[in-house]
Amino acid sequence: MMTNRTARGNRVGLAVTGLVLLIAGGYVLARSLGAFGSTQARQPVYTDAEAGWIRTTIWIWLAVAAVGVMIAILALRWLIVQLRTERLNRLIVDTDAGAVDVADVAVGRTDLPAGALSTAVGSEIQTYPGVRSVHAYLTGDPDQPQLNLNVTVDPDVDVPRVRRRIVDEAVAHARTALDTPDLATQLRLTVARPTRDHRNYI
Amino acid sequence: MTQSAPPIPRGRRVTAAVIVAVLLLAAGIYAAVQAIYLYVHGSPWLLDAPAIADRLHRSSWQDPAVTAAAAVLTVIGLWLLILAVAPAAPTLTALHEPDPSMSTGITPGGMSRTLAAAAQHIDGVSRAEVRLGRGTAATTVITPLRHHEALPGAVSAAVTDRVAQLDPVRGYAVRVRVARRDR
Repeated sequence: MMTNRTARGNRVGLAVTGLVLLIAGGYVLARSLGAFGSTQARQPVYTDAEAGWIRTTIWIWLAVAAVGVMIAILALRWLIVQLRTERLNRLIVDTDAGAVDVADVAVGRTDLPAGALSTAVGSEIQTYPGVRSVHAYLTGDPDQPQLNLNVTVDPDVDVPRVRRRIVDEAVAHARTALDTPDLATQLRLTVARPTRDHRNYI
Repeated sequence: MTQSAPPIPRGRRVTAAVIVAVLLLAAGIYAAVQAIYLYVHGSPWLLDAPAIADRLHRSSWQDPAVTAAAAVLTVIGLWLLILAVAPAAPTLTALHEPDPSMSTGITPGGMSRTLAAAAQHIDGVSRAEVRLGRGTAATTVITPLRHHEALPGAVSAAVTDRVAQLDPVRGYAVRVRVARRDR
């Protein structure tokens, strides 16, 4: 899934950056503390020999520029990847050959806009008492989707009861609609902050 | 084939990734601009090259400033590496879910708010707060009552009951602390 790819990319990016900093910093630190002998530690950071080499080796700046541009491009790509969503826009549903109410039946499979299903499930859950807001969306592969439900409930609601309704009604309806009794579903519950002085005093 | 329950999502280290990526982007562009300036003009852009070269020439590897800078770099590098390797915390508290194709979780903040709401229902509690630790739900209630000996037991029972209703995969031991405060 896309999100997992982003998560893995972030790990690799952080690990590589960390490793480079650790090696460079560790080398300077070791040399500074005399790990390569006190003669080396007493040497200037930027020697005359190095200055002379840079003065005669002009192309080094082109190499530095190329490395800088490369780092910038990779960093930009890394940033853009964060915006990647795992949202699914269409679904593939197996349909019966005999189904007559489906417009474009091709080899018994049909394309559905994912928004229709998630909107239907979301507005159904929204009507349950105690539910503040619902965010429903589909992820995964078009022929093996995952239903994601982010539900915010009131602080004092009977959470198990709302949960049961979501599973027994909304999720069950979605599964019937897609004809997949085992539609993978992730329910993410949040409890809203209590509104000011809504508490019951004695 | 039955679809298995989706795993509880874990943190994706987006904040750290964005910070590091922005810094790398800025550093890369800056280095490229300076290098091109140096190549074309023989001097960097908005920088006093001879002064910098002189400063670097006069400081030795064992200078405290060099040691300190290297130590800072090493620590940041180590920290990023740990951040990358250590498993990210789950973003949800998993709840028991009988449906084999479904997974249910509650946000930690949501969990502590619903437990606090349960404690709030007890007579004599004017305010309740729940902090979730590793396997513990530390509940603090504020009461105006002078005699509140019965309060910890009642609060603990109510919170424990709410935990049992939610049925988290890893349970919580409920601890209650009572503070007296007049309204």
